Amino acid sequence: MNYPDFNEEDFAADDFFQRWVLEQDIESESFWQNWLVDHPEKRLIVKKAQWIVQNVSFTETWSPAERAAMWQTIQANLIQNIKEEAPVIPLWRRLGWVAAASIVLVLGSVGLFYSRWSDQEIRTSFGEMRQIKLADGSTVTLNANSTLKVANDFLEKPSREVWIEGEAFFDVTKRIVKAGKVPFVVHANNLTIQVLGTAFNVINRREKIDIALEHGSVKVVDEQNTTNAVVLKPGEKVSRVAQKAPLVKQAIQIEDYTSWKEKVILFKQKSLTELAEMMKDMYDIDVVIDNPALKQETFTGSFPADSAEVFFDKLEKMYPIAIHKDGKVFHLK
Amino acid sequence: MNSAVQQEDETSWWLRLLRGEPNALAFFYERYADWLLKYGLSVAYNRELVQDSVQELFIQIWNRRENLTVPQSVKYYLMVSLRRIILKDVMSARLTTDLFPDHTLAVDDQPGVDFEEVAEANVRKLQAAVRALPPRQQEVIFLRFFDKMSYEEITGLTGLDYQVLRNTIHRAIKALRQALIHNIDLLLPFFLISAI
Repeated sequence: MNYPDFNEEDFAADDFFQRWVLEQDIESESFWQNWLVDHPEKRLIVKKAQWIVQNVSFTETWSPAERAAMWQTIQANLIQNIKEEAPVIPLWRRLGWVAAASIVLVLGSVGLFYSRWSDQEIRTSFGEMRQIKLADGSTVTLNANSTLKVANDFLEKPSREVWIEGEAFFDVTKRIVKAGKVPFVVHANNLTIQVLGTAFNVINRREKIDIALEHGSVKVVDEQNTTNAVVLKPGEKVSRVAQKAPLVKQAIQIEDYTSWKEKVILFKQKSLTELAEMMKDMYDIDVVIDNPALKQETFTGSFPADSAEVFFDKLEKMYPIAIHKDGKVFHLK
Repeated sequence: MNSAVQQEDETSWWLRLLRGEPNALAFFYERYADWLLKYGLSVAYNRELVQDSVQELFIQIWNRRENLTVPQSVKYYLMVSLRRIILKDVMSARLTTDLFPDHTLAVDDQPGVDFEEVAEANVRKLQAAVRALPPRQQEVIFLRFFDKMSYEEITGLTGLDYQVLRNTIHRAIKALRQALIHNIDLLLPFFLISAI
């Protein structure tokens, strides 16, 4: 290859160059790093080529509603087995009314919070979701069983500071005072999320933290060790499974983390143990897995946020599981 | 997830599908619908056509499951099949492509004040430029740069000759570069101070 004569177009269209940018395998990495040492004058051209290769993206998204409508069309066109099935009693009938009532989704009112006097604390109960408009115009959608705290001098301080426990989606507006940008800072269990203008989802439950970015950019910093920091790009998330555990970044489908706002709960490859924790966190429904072999079984699917019976129903159809209710506890066998 | 594990897992789900378990079809739909819709748009930029084609794909798989075998990679199999369905419709000239939304094309050329803004403007310009490419070029750009498929895999999927594929990618990159010609230089000061 005649690399010294290459312009950014040629680099970006070169298979081996693409391998370096896209896959970063050892062979291409060491070749290009060495090559740059020998050809420092090509650095900017290489940077430009790299930028093009990295930033090609296909951002069109499909809403959960579109996907669900498509699935209905598919199902309507499937040629069914003629085999007669035994009549099925809908699960929620068998479970009785308590279950249905305990998961009613209370549609939140939009409240305005002027935090001039003292720290504001907004709390949602089980099964409740609420949208909050902050004094700077940012909106916070608070999921069930979650708490948002807003500093009393929210607008006066050099940075806008809030604290979150549970799960929330933040849509932050840019704020400029005297030609300077005012950062927006979210604190979650010793992690700091630094924001300019952006939208992202935070889960902070059971010591586990999950921050998923929809658009814009955020920096996540460990407050106890500030060198432990990660910058997120749209479509990436960072998670920490326990206090003092490392921060792990990975690419995601952002809808998996934001569909709850549209009242659709999505699962991808979630173990039944994780699902049981989620039912407890969001609906205060106790799920006990009696058969240890089931704990590692995974579930992929969705259910409407306001009807958990659909969830139990799907679960029963997918696995040889018997579900029965004992007092307020659901047993999976 | 380990891809060998995923494959084994998918094989058992596929077998359940062949045996006629509706849940197995739902499993693959949940796992791949999003991805197929995205890929489909790179083959033909028409949301309605792509939606119809993805529906048709899943209906076909179910209704013809007696004649199906277990593919080596379900994802690859689904992409090849979807591509065939879309191109069949395009050939029969049933539909044209959607217009790319105008506001994304009219990115203002005002130089931004910080890296974030300059980069964002460039990314939007690049996205619009990708959508303005001819369909074949959009698809190879999707497969190589977004799906990170190797050249060999792409020739297998599209039936393009290796040399033709290289030329197609080169032409696409050239067009993208043209679209960014003034804007990308605004990033240079930031590149100067950043490490590779």
